Amino acid sequence: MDDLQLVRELDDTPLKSADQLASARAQLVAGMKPRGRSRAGIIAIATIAVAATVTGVAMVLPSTTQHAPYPEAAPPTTTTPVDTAVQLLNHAAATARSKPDVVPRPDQFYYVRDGDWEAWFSVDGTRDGRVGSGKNEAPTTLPGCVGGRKKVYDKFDKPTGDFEPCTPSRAYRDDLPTTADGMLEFLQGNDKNRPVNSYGKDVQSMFAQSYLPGPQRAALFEAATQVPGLTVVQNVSSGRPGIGITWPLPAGSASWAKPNVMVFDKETYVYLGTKDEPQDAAGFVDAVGDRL
Amino acid sequence: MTATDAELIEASLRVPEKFAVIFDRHAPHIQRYLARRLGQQVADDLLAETFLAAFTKRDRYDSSRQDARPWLYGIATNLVGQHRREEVRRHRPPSAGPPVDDHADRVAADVTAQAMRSILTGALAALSAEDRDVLLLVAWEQLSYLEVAEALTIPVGTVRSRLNRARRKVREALGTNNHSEVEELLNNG
Repeated sequence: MDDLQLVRELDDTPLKSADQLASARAQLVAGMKPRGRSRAGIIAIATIAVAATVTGVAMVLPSTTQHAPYPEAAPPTTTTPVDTAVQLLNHAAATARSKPDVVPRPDQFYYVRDGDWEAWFSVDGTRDGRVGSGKNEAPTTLPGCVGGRKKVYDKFDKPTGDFEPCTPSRAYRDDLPTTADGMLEFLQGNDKNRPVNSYGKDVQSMFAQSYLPGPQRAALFEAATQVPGLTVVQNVSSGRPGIGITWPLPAGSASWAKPNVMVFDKETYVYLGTKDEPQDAAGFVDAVGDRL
Repeated sequence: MTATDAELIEASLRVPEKFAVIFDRHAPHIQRYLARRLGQQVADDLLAETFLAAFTKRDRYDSSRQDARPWLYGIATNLVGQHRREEVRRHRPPSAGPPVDDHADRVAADVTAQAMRSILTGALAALSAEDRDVLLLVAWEQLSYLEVAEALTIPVGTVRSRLNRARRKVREALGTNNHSEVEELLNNG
């Protein structure tokens, strides 16, 4: 036995069970609820997706395929050059500007369902929203911001009685820029050299959390044409067949890693989800708990 | 097919709740590591903090590393670094333990398991923080040199040199620099 083994045997702390770690897990889950939607990079891009799409009072996107949690064998796809991506984005922008758009009431909620995950985001950011994930997970409250302060919730999602400073996190983003340059500046924030993968991931992570009206949506598409590296993927599906936009994997990615693909309806440019994560429904509802 | 940690973390960028599976897979080991270094009470407090920190920085996770545990150990180790005082207190030998200056003679005379424990805990407390991190990740958590390097974001060569230095100091504390002597002492004790 050597010194390393002596040190090893110095401690015999047992592993704790899942039950014993439940409290920490609950803290983690509570801490994972969306916040900081004001972060420029994140918000704007989210919009690309959700925004691109909606044409009516409520956008409902039924998926014909089961929610696929993790990448499976990729269907055959072909990519075409950047020029085509720019054309597609310009076309989507023109469509967004020309279509009549939904204007929700301030007291409504933007509802999104993605597999087991669903959420209600306050249109004006002043009402309490909610996010939940599956039947076995307790939902968590997204406290509304009223008069510059919002309620503080504990790890069991109970109000503590305390308040904290805030600015309303609006789900309806008619406050964003309506020009390509303004939107690009908003997306870049303080980092003028963000890699395309950074933009792309922000888009995907924020899909479900905001809605851009037509002018903002169009600005976002036009801003995206200025992001180098975007390509179009033909014959891709996210529940429904569509056209995809993708970007290169960053250098050093694992050999098994596959590029992410945002999928849009070929005719309407409604956002369908990503190739592996179809979005099941999105639209405005009157109250938390209402579904599409 | 079970998703790798890297795939889960990637998916959690779109569906954040999927990151909870990373907790389910690794929390027991990370909690035990924190408990070993800082005690159960502090460990329980820092466990969620570790995973929340990981969640916050998951967009910078190196997707070529399919197993996230070394990465999580690194984050936990950073948090341990913010609680050095508690750790040193935890590893400080009890006051009834053997005085440092005559331990060699005492070891030669009569080594008990308890005395050995006191010597080792004292030796750990006397290590530099950097050397202790490496030694304990190798000895307690049984990480490979490469995994320690990943966890602490240091070169493998630095892992080797720190581990070598830490082990030498532990052996010196035991009053011998010879592996067989350590074993003999232990058996006699």
